[in-house]
Amino acid sequence: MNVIFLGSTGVHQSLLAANAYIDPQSDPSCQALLYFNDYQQEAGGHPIYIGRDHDGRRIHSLGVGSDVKMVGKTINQLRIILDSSAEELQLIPIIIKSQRLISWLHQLARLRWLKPFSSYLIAGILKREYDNIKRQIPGLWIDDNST
Amino acid sequence: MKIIYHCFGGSHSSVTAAALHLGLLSKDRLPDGQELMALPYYDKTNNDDFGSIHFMGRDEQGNEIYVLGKKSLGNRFSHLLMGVAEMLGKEDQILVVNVMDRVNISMKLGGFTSRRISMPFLGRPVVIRGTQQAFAAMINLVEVIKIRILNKTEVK
Repeated sequence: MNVIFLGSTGVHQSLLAANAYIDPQSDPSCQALLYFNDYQQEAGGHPIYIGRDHDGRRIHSLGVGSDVKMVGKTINQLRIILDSSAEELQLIPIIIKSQRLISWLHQLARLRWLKPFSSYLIAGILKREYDNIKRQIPGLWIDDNST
Repeated sequence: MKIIYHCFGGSHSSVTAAALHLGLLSKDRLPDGQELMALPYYDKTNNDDFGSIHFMGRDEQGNEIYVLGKKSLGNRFSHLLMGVAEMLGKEDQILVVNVMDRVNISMKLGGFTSRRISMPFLGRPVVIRGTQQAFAAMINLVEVIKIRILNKTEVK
């Protein structure tokens, strides 16, 4: 079984979500995450393997551009034409308001000397969006007001 | 094998390449507008078709031929789909072909006018003319792909 977290980029919000899914107690500061704001990794376009969850499922992060829903539809159709069952692949889209801004700031990471600045700004945005990201992770969100 | 030809809208260049692959268009002469319009999906898709993988037919080797519109995702879309196929352990069953580098300005302008801003009476003649101009390049692409399929299946 594979789980793919889909985001406009694979090295920001979906990466953070994938790591939070594997380890809900992990530190939400994302600058320490492997592949965070990695321009080369993102440019490749391949799914990024993050690790396994407690059930042994393989967790990935994937950047698919601004139309996350469209690519989700394509991947599901691809799975069907490849005769794979729905249990073999679960897609979890992560959509946040500032994804366009993040994609734009990520372009700065192309220049090595601007990457720390780009990473700092994106980490700040993701910190603000963290609750929204967690809400989109199945089985992770616990409403503080419900207790 | 499953071969997916993809372009911006899944409506012109990918359909033409798939039709050439399937023998729905002759390689020996330029197709006229009527022949192109008779192809399934040619200049007929709408916004809901973006991201949909459409089946076009089976070639003489039994390979399934599909077309797909992926907006402006570029060549990374091939990597993305191949990556997912790899994840499912089916990478040897699929070939993903980006047709965008064979597309000329007439196809882009005509396709945009006909499909995106819904003015086919203006865009269709332009995109048909563009398809005819790009026809030799499309034939070349399909020949390359057929050789790649042959190599891939022989290696297996």
